[in-house]
Amino acid sequence: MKLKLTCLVISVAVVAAAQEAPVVREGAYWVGNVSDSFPIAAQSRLQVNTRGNVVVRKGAGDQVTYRVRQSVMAATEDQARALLGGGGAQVSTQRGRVVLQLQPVSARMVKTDIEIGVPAQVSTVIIQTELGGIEVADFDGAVELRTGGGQIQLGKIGGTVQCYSGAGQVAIERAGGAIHCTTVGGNMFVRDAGGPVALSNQMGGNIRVDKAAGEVRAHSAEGMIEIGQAGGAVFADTQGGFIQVGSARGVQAESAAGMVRVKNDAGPMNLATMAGNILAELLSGARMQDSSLVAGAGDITVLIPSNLAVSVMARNSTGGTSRIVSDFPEIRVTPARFFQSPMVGQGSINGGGPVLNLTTSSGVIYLRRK
Amino acid sequence: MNTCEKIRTQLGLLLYGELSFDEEEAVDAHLEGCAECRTALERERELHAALDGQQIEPPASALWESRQNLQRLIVAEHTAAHRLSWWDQFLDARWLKSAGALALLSIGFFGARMFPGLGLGITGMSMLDPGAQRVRSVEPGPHGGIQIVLDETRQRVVSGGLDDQNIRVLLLSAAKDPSDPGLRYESVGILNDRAQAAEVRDTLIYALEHDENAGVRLKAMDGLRPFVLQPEVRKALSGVLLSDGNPGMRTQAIDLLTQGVGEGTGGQTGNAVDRDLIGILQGLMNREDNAYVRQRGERVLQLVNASSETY
Repeated sequence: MKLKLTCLVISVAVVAAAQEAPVVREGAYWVGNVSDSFPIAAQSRLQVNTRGNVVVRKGAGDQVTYRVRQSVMAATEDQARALLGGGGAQVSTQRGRVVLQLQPVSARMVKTDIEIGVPAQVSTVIIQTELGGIEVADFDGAVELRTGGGQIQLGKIGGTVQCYSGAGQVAIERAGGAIHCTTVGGNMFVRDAGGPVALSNQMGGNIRVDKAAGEVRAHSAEGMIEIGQAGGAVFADTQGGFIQVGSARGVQAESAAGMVRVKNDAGPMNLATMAGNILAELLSGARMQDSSLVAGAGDITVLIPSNLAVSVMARNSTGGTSRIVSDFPEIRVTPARFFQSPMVGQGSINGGGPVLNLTTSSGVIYLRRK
Repeated sequence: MNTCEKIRTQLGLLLYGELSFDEEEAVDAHLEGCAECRTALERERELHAALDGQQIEPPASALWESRQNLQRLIVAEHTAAHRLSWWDQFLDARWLKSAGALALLSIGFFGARMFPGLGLGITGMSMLDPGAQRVRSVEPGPHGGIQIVLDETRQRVVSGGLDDQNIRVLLLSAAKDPSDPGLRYESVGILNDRAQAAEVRDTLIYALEHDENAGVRLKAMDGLRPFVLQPEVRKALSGVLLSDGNPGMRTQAIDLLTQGVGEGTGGQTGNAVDRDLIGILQGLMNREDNAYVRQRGERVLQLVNASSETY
């Protein structure tokens, strides 16, 4: 009974169908516009279910406004009206959400653009569009977005962001809270996040996060991963491409084919690449922990501040041409004997500290003083 | 060899019973008249008895070693019978092969050191032929310049602007480096700023069509975006639309190819859609499983009153 009650759909408004709306000629196209508004209580969650491109703009007062714009090429107005078809708009309340159903019943050749004005008192906007891009320029609350295919483009979002695209780019300018987004394919960009960030690219595309206050998780099936500045740890993996981390409090990065370049403030580093070089820079005063850097085929270069206390265990299994090049006399390198591997370099810098394990199967290990 | 010496070589065979009847008769006849040979026979018999008393386990390799020894002896005998001439021995000498290899190496090394500009193929390592070297990394430098790290015999850094022909040649080469997708991505990113140049555009198109990494292809598509009306770019985008496995690529490709179509606010009208694109979109309808790409394709086809099917 309770479930039935919570599922009860309360229709509060049914607006005119599109065929009753005015259709005007704009160049070679016939354009139909439907617009309306309805009030919404403070701290409400607004959900919009639709089909087409959606743009969300900041509204005023307590009114949610919406405008559906459809355009189509047709010889006559009657033909255009027939193609535009109609459909309805319905506002209801479901499970504590105010739900706006905008389901145009139009021919596929009709282009549908929906613009929604959302007042600041709405806490969360949920957009679900079958197909089409989603754009939210400026909104103080949280957003949850889902499209079957199309770009997701967000400006300044005050709260958290959750999004999913069946195919297309995801670009987020700023989010006050956490970001959790997935796209099946396409690039993903985040300029500034006030919380943790989790981005997943299922079939390939590049990921870039300029700044995040929390930890960053980035997965790309195939593409580059660039993290500028992370307030927490970074977890990154790609099947093909480089991984670059400007600063983080711990890094776990794995690339199947590509360079790994990391600057670490604190915490452990676990870096691995099957084919590519590793360049790790330890920062002065860093509170690092035991770390592991493994290159299947590639050089490993570690830049170590002269005042940092760290213990080093380096293994180079390259074979006859093994090399471990160290700027630190404390590192004792045991030359590989003929047919014997690996070459080993070990020692304690500034009295020793967290252990830095370095392993390459084909390449050179460099320990450089900063 | 006198009679006693000959008889004593046969004593062992006598004890083993390996002599023929006539040989045994001859040895016995000699032993009857020769005390020294009888003494020798007794010593031989004692030796055999002592050996028979020992349990010796022959090593597993004994047979193999025996065969090797036999083979060596046969070869030695054969070689002794057919002595090589001094010239044959000279040519067959192993030291000569080693010395020859060392000489060639020395000629190459000292030639390069003493005559670096002779054009004997050594100049293949020069800036003008980047094929002999490998670009390890590229990155934007100060004042709009670019820094390129090259792998040669040793690494070196080459600096210059994009207008520098050497820099551009190296970047074009790096954009196709098959071993490092990150390097290709960085190179394509820098080249995107110069896509108005035909050779740069060709490289971006190559990356768009052939690069195995989706990240690099997406980057190349970004650079080609302003040139979407150019036939070669449209052709490349059409190829992406029909054959790229990444739906993100196809989504961007169809957005670019159909941008402005059916907007109702100017832009391309249905009539402005080129015939090639119509054929491509019809082909697309037969294979596309991504709803967004299908929808955009169908809308354009309906705009121009073209069927969604091919016959």
